[in-house]
Amino acid sequence: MKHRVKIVRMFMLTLIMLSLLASCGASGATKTTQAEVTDQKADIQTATDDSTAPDVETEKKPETNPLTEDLAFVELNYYIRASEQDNAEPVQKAMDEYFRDKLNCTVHVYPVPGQEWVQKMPLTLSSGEQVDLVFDQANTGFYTNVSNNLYLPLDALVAEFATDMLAEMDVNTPGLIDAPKVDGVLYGIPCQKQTAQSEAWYFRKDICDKYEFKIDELVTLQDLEPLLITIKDNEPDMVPYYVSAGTGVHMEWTTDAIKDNPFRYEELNGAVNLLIVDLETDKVMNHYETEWDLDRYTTLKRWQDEGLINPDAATTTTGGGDMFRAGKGWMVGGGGAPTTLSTYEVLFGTEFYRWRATQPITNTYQNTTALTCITRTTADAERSMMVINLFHTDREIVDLFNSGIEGTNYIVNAKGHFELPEGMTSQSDTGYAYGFETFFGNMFLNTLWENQPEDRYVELREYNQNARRSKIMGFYVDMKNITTEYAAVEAIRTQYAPILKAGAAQDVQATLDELNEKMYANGLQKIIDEVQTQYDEFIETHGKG
Amino acid sequence: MSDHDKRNAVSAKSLHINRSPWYANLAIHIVFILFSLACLAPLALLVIISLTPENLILQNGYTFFTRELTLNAYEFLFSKPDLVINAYSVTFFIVIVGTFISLFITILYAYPISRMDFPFRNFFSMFIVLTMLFNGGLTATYLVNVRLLHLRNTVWALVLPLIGSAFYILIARTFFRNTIPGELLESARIDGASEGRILFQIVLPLSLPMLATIGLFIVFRYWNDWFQALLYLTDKKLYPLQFVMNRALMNVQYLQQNISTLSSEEAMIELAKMPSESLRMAMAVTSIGPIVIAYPFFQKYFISGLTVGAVKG
Repeated sequence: MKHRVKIVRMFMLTLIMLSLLASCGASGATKTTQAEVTDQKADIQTATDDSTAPDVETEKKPETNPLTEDLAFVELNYYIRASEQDNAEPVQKAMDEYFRDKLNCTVHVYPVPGQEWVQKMPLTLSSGEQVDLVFDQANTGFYTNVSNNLYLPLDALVAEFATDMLAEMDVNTPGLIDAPKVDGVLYGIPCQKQTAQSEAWYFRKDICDKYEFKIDELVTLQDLEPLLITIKDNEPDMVPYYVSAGTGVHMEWTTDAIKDNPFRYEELNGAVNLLIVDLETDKVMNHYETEWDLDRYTTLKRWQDEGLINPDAATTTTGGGDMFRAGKGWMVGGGGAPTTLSTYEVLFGTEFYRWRATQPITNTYQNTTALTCITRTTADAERSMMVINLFHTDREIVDLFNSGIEGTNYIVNAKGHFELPEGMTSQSDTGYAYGFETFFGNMFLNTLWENQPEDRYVELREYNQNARRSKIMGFYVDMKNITTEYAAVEAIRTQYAPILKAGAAQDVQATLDELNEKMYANGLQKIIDEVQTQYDEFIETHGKG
Repeated sequence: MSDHDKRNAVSAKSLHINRSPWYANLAIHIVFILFSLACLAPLALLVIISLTPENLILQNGYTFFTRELTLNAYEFLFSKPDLVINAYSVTFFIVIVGTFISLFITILYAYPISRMDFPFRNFFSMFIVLTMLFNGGLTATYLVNVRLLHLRNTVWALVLPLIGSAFYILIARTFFRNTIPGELLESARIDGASEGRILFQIVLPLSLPMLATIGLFIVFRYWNDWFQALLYLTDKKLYPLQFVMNRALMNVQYLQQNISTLSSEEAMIELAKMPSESLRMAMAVTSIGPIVIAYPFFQKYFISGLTVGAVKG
């Protein structure tokens, strides 16, 4: 009897404790569950801290232009993927002033460094904290976040508050706005920058001139070989082709195997390192099974054997940039956009020749690398869209965000270009350099720096307009049903990739076979089948081209 | 012959058997010397690299025998007082305050459940054990800390989440139960001591080895923690040392590993801003400094504490 009383008492105590805990957690929990309600307008209000949000949120669109109305003051938070800066406060203050004037709001910038982004942002987004604007890209989970319903659909907001932005995009980056659409709905505003993807090598000009290299005549990976041999024979201090673990030849580089038909394959956004599609047969393939890969890795193995690649290529973590700076490199890899050339010349302090190793292609991958999204926990979706619109149309804020404050972070010279203040050797020295210009807003609006060519943005615009357009623009792999398999296969792939890219495989064909066998044992076929289905559906609804 | 004598005889014999010949001794010594070297060598390398000029590292890779030594990295490190000195003071604050509060809470939880006359001791023991087996997970924890306790961007975000540990509480409970005789408490009570007096003037002075051991664990826990800072802080002034160091090291690693998936231009620009190889090593040396000095101080308690904590007949 006494025993039972004890049990009952204990049970009651547990209940009390649990209910205490539950009531404590309640305020947070309800907010996140409510965020799942699909009705966009309703939950903007409940999910935010102040449920006294103004009537701007109602379904009916206001008749008058809201910019002329008296907007209630609101504080917005903007999360970007960038390293923290030593001296960002003055710029933040100037930004606050700017936005107070223009939109009666402030935009507080929170930089989150790359490796923390993956841990921190999912928590921040799902915790119901007020995040208004957030950077995202396909690589950091844009499609997952969209399917988890974290972002607001933007089409209506764009139509209402950002028509100026659309006009700018039509000129600079045609077709850009279609790329990040998910099932026809826009969830992220892409940055206006290079819309076409291409990979390039940058060669030191003095070295090329010394040995009379004809960089213009290079077409395939194999064409590079005689140059590397010359370097090896004549420049004992240099590594002809430096590879650090996991980097090196990007998968779609032109090699002899696809020289005649370089656009036959396309990468599939969402699984870029693993899958490609053969546009002639519409077959989704594992790219490690193609002739193309065999050709590429066999070439790399030959280079390794000939001593053209550093022997520790599969393991070293010292980056190519560091080696180059230490005088041990003569070429450095990068993107093929026209702006990269001048960026690199400033970064490395030397002149370069550029070789585009792949032809520029406007594809989904490139155009989902820099999106600005509005989250469901925003305090004011419309104001956030107005902020985005300013990022895309107002030179003042673009310069302020990218270059900082005049006098502190730059000075304006006679030509109206920016220059570093005296005694500074780089933008980082001034304590403010997020290096975020290719990740938000409109890159074309930046005022030129003194060391940048006059036609920097003219050239970039041409590059965008002339690039070949992907046949499957807008396609992305939805990993929902194959998450486990993809993780397993990726784990295997990342184990083998550095060895292959370093040319360190003893027998390339055998290594590729082993890799493929292991990937198939872990569900690669299921991934291919699933992606094939998605691809077929996409082609059926969107057509090719 | 009594049992006692027999046992003595056996132990004497085994003592003789156990006396190792010189060559075995030598072998054992060599093995352990090698083992110690294997532990110390990486540390020595770390210190040497932090003193090596950057261009030599890039040219020759990591080596014990460098041609030149320089203090450049350390000079640079301490030329940014915000970075190191501020981080040091935050770390010292959370280590000292956190250890004190955490130890206090551990004692206050462990002591009652160690007492046989406390009615709900089994319930509360189970309650704390449950938290070892199940926890709220990252998201729920984050929600409670941010939305309920409003810990974001306060120094308490570094202290409070680590304040209680079921494991240390159980160690402390076992220690109290096994080492402090119930008769002692009883006689104290007969002499008129209150519960508070019994705990603070009788039980705790007898528990110093255990307190030192757990204290050391907690010190390490606070000293090494960077994850709370990652989750809850955006204010630079509050960054603890380990977070500053960890961030600098991990950033470079991340960029290098992902150089092919990031836009390579972005990665190049970011990498160019990163601290150099020798600076990163100097940071590592700086961050282990004080704790290495603290360790020998705790060590004598540490050893005896562990022995006492084990189950004895």
